[in-house]
Amino acid sequence: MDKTTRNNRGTAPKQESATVSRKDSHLVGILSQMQKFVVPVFFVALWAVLAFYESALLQRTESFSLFLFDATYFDNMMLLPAGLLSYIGCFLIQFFHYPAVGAAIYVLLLLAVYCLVRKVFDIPSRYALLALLPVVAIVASNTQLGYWMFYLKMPGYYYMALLATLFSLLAMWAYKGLSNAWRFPLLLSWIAVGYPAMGVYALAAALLMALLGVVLAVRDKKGLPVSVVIFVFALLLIYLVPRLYYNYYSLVALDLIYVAGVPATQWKDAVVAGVVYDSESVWHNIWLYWVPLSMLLLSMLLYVFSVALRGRFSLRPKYTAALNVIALVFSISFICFFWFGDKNFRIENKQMVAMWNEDWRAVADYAKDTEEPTRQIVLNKNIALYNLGRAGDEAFAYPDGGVLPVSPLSVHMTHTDGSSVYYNIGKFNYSYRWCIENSVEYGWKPEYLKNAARSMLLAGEYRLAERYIRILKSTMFHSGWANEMERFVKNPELVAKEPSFSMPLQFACFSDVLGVDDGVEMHMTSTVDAVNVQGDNDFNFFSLLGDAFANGDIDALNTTFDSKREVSPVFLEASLLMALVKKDSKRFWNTFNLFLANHMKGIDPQSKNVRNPLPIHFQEAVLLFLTLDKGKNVQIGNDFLNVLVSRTPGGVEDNFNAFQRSVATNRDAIRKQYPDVSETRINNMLAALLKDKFGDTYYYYYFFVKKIKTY
Amino acid sequence: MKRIIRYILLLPVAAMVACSASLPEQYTVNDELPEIFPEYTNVTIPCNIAPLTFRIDEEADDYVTRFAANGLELIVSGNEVAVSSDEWNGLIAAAKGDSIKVDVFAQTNGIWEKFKTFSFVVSDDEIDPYISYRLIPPSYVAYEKLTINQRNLTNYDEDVVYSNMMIDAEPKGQCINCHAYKNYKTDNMQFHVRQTLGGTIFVRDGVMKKVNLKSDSTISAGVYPSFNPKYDLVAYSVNTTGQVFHTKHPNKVEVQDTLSDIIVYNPVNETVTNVANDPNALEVFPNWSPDGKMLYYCVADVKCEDPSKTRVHQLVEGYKDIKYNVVRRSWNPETGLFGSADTVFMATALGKSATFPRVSPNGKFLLFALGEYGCFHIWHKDADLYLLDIEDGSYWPLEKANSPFAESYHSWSSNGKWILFASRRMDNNYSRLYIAHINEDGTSDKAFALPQAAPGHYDFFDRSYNVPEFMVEPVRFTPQDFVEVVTGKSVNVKYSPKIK
Repeated sequence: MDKTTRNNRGTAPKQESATVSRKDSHLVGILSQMQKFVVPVFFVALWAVLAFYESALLQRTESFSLFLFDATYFDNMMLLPAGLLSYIGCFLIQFFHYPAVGAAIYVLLLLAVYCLVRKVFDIPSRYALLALLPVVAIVASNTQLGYWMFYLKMPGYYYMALLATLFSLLAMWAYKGLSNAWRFPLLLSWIAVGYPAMGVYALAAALLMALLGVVLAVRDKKGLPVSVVIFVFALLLIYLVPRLYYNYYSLVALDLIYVAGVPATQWKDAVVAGVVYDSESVWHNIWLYWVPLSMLLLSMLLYVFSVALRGRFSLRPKYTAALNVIALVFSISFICFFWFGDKNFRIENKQMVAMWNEDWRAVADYAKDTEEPTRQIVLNKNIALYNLGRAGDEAFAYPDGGVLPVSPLSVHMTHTDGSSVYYNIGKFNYSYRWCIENSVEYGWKPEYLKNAARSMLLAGEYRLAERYIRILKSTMFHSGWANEMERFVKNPELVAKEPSFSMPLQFACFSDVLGVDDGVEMHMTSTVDAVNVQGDNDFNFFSLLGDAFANGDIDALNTTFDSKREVSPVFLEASLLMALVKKDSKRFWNTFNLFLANHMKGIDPQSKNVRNPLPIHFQEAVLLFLTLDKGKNVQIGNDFLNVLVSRTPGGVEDNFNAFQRSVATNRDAIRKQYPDVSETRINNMLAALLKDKFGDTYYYYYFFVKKIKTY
Repeated sequence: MKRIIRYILLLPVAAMVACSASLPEQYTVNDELPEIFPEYTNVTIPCNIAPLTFRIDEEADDYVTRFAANGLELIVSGNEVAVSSDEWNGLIAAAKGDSIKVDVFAQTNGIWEKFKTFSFVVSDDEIDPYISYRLIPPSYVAYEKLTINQRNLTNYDEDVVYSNMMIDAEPKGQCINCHAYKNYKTDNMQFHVRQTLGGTIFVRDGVMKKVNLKSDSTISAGVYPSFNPKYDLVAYSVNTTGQVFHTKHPNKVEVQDTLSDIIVYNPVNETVTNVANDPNALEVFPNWSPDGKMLYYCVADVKCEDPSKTRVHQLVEGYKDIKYNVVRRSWNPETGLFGSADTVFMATALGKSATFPRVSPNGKFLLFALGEYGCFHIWHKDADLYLLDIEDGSYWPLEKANSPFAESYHSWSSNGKWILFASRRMDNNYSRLYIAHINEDGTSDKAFALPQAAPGHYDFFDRSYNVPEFMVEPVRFTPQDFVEVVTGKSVNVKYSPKIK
């Protein structure tokens, strides 16, 4: 007799099939072996995918979940139903900081669910793969989240369904083993204690327990009336306990008491902002988010009812095999379908992990892995290039665009990684502001705390920085970072010497103004406008410089440079880049003079030996805008142009000339071949033709990249 | 329940440390005061206040603290100094009208050091047993969990009066603000809920209602309230308010009124009447005198003369030029008419801006916040509390109560001996409540932070204390009671040109 078919009440199941053929018995053997092989492989594969393929996702999940061993923290969690799940969930999420460890804990708990399902519902080996259903439902409830990671107002959500299922299975196991006389007190205590701790999960488990009692009574033909009474009583308790809880303890809204523990209202209201999507996606459907949790409940109901069938009849092994295969295929397909695999989302996560590790090359390189990036990816890439000192050389060599994040939510960068962007471009007040705003809406997270601490540290508000550092010091895995920051709070003179602070501090070279979130481009350009005292006379600057170079007049050169007030070179480079992104030649020249004042300071015009060549994109822009200007506003003498632009064979000027020739030649060819085609179509065809050769140049961007986004 | 558990946990610990600790026999003397948090050295406290707990922030291996008052001595070990209520009450009773001396000893590498002795001066003047305040994150636009809480000052008991989370979360949530009481009692009180199911929750003689204070002839629903202590009237400001953000300044945000007037609400007839609505002025922060016959408020003259720019644009551009004076107008209860405005404090003459005038219960002093510009001084680092002698017009800063950080949202205790206010001095961001004793001559003693059971409470607590008010009794309605009214129908006020 199969050991797992023994039920806990001591009644022996009937012999399921007295006449099993040799072929069938062979199949039973295979099934048993398959279960032994497939289940471990399933869980190990799941661990491997989470730990390695989705390591950035796990790390980000951890950085958006705070756990503190603190009484106030615990009290706050316990104020809401399902608070205990949140509390334990947040504790466990911490281990995602080390993805392999966190994933191992997660997968082991899933394995425990699988084993408990089999144990509680007496699922025999030959049906073992059916016990994967709740496991895949739980996994899918997490892997489907995507950008919800930033928006869920339910701390510890990643573990809540998993923990609730585990606790519920343990309770059902106990319930099954008790007589009716003890089942009622168990049910009563379960709901009374379980509801505050587990919210709606406890109510669902109570319903399942009461139902299981009825099913067992039907199967064993014993104690049915009492089981039905308990079931009715359970329904009453399920209705009453949340209401009592509302009236006497919790400060939760009445509407939420029966959905406490699942983000029901958030999912319902997700599209309240009226998002206009770039393209259709299955992920825009709100109902999709209910599917895994519904499947979890349905699978449990299925198991409960299946208990009644146990021993009544049995499938022939070939059908059992088919059922197992279907269960496995369904499980894998279900997980795959509900795995939010959006490429941009994954890139953003990888970029952010790399940014915190100051691996700027990786941040930039990740941006190449998409056809059309989100603005977050573009901004992260630009920040990386500023840090690498490569913005003027590489910025236009990456995919450009601003596709909306794939989500039913109106995803704003200020809610996701805007705070990091603001920190990196020296807008510390705004970085801090969004840490606070987001913490208010979604609760404090390690990432908010870290951005708040470092922003206020660089803003010189040491007391405030210390506040967040103190909190981080009491976390399990961010205390090292906090201790490092505390060193700067205690010794502020070290801030200026710390290389990692250099770039944000160089960006913080603007004067205070009142504003709103007006975008990076606006900030860069308005700051330069505020310091660019020369205004429209800036074009004259280039004539003066040209003369200085033509005459080898170092004094004239220095006088001209000194006429410019200094903005940090990094800020100017970024601002210049923004002018290029906007395709604004006037702003380019106005900013370029400031840039040159820094870039060429100390150069000897007599030697005409430029020690620090201009970044390639700026050379490309100089050639392009000079060509387009046709000498109307800007005149740059040949000597000065020699300094500015690489004019050697194969240099920037050569490439620009080749581009012009290619455009002219190919345009003519296309026109000849397709005389009726519109200019727009011709441009699109040209763009495709020239992309491989010139796609990393500014002039290609200028002519062929449309739909510019600058926020 | 939480409190009970906390007491159960704390009491034996406190008793144990109190019994087991002993003073070092040999020590060196340090002339400096010890670093303690909150900063409680040499503060004046009322004789009915909850125990002042604190943390010693000196780096050391061991700590002992001795409290001494008229022969009574209590010794506590550890860097978190929390004495039990019984022991504290004993100390305070012994020191009433005198002081509790506190000696802190710290041991490093086996060598004990005694810091300079400091005192808790125990005033004979009692403080009102209750206060209420709004708990709000120091955010700008977002809000989620907002509560109005009440706290028993004689112990650590704290209850939620109302929580906005009992309705819904954003985007269908509520902002709640401006709780106020008539004569420090709670049978006549009010607070506002905004957005979802918005209105003013008004309790009159123990009966609750929700009122829509917006009329066709007023800018908005009521905002900053002041109950007339003698008559059935409430003065409100009505405002259109916006926020803009500093890219660099540590003040971080400017909260500005672009329109604001003063109205009076008659809760009997359900009417509102404009009291001050000059289009070229911003009038705000009404406060009745104790006899109910004088209304104080703040006025800023504004000129928006550039037709090419909106009023908002011009006011934002010129935010540093908006400065408020304090004026008052007499009110005749017989005729219901107000007299003309009389300037009480001309802050503009000093190039400054005065806000939140609060008349002392004896009618002698006017307490206000003074800053460089604007009306929302709680975000202005330079804002300090000042007192003005209403009779002779002299004024002075409350030097011992003020700090280099923002002070505002002040209120008087019912006996006029204590003031309660919000200050951002702990970190320039989270406003915390401070209490200061006011002497007969109008000077203040050093302020102390609202005592908490856990010395480290303010380290982790992530919400600001806002609009603190004294009460002589607690609010007896439950949050659920308020929810019923909030979700019910509103009474709509009518506009009346004359106060009926």
